[in-house]
Amino acid sequence: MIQKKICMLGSFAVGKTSLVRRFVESIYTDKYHTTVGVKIDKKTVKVGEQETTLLLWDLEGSETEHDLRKSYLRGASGYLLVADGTRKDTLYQVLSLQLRAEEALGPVPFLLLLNKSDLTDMWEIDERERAAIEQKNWKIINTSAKTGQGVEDAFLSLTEKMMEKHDG
Amino acid sequence: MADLPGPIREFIDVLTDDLLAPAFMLVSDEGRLIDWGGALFSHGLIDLKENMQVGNEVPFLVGLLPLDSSSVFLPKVQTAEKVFADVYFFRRAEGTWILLLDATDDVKKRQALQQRTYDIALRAAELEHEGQTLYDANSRLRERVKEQTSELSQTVVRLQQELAEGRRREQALVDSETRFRSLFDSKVMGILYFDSFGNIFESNDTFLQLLGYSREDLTRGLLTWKQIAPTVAEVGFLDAPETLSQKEFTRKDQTQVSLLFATAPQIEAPGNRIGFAIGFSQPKSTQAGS
Repeated sequence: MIQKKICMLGSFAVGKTSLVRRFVESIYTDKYHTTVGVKIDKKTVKVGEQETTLLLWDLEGSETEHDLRKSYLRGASGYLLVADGTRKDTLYQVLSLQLRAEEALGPVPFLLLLNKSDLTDMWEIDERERAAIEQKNWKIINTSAKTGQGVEDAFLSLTEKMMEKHDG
Repeated sequence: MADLPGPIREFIDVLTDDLLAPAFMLVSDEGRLIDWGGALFSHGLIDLKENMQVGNEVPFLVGLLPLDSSSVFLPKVQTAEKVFADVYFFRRAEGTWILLLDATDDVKKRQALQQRTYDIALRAAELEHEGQTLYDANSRLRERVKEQTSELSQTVVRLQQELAEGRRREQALVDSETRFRSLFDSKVMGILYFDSFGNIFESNDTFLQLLGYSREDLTRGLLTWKQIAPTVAEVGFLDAPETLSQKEFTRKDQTQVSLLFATAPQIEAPGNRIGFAIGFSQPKSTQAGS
C-alpha cells in the first residue's frame, strides 16, 4: 500500500482541522478548537485503480513562515494551503507559508483552499486577488468544511497530482 | 550531568519516568523495527513486533526514514486520543533511535492559553469586520443624507419660488379686482352677472339706473332676461354677443331703451356670464316703439 504524507498549512482558525474531519469522518462542528502541535489522521482513497493511504498532518496554525516548523514538513508528498475567505490577511499568510514549504520540500504538489465558502456575505477575497494568484499557476478550490463543498475534490485533486509525480 | 552524584541521577531518572513516560524505538534505514521499550503503551503504541515495517503502525514515521540529518525533533505529536509526545530522532551506527517523551500536560496548558488568545483574536477580527460594516453603512447613510439634503434644498428653493409666484399672482388678482371694482362702481357702463337660467343676481347701480330698477328689485329677483330683454331671452341669452352691439331692452316702466351690449363668460364661475351695457339713447315708450 502506498502511503503519502500531506501537510495542512495555514493560519489559526482557517478550518484546517475541520477540513480533515469533514474529509476523514464526514463530521463538522461549529465550535472552534485550537490545534497544538500536530494531529495525524489516515484515510485510504482510490485514484484510478490505485489505492493510497493519505497521512494527513494537521499542523497548528502558523501566521508566518517563521512559525512553521520545518521538521513537521519532512517527507511530505504534498500540502494544502488553507486560507479563510472571510479573513483576507490569512491569504497573505499562506503566500508566505508556501515559500517556506517550497524551501523545505522542493516543488511538491500543493493546492490553495479558500475555506468557509458558505459565508458568502462575509467574503473578503475578491476576483482580482484570486486572478493574481491564479496567474502563478496555482490551483484554487473554494471549500466549506461546513457544507462539504469542494472538500473531497481538494484532497483527491492533490492525491492525483502526487500520484502523477510518484508514477512519473 | 557527569558531576552529579548517584542519588541525584537516580532521582532524576525516577522523575523522568513519572513525568515524561519515556519510550523508545530503534529502527533500521529500511524502516524495520529492531528494538523498542519504555512506556510505549502510554503513547498508544502497542502490538509492535520485531522486524515489522514500523511506518504501518506509527504514522508519524512515514516519510521521515531514513533520517537525512543527525537529529530531528517533532514537538507535540498526537500519538493517541488526547496523548501527545515530544519525539526525538537521532542517528547512530545501529540505526535511528526514536525517543518519545510525554507532552500531554504541556499541550493541555498551551491549548487553554492558545484557545483563549485565538478566541480573543477572532473576536477582535469579528469586531473589526462589524466596525467596517458599520463604517460602510454610516458612509452610505451620510451620502444618502447629503443627497436628500440637496434634494430638500432644491425643493425648498422651488417652493419659495412657487410661493413668490403665488404672492405675485395674488397681488395681480387683488390689483385686477381693485381695477374692476373701480370700473364696477363707476358710472361709465352698466355691469351685470347672470346665470345659465337667465337670473340676474348682481349688477352695479348704473345698470339698474339704465333700466329704471332699484337694488331692492334686484334682491327680490325681479330682474330676469325675460323681463328686460324678451327677444334676447328667446334666442338664448347665453348666446348673447361677446362684442358690443346694439340691443333693445325693456325698462321697468315698460319703455324701451337701446343699449350697446356685450357679454363674456365668467371665468371663475363656469356657466355664468358677465354683461356690459352702455346707454346712448333716451328711453322711449313701448307704445311709441310699436
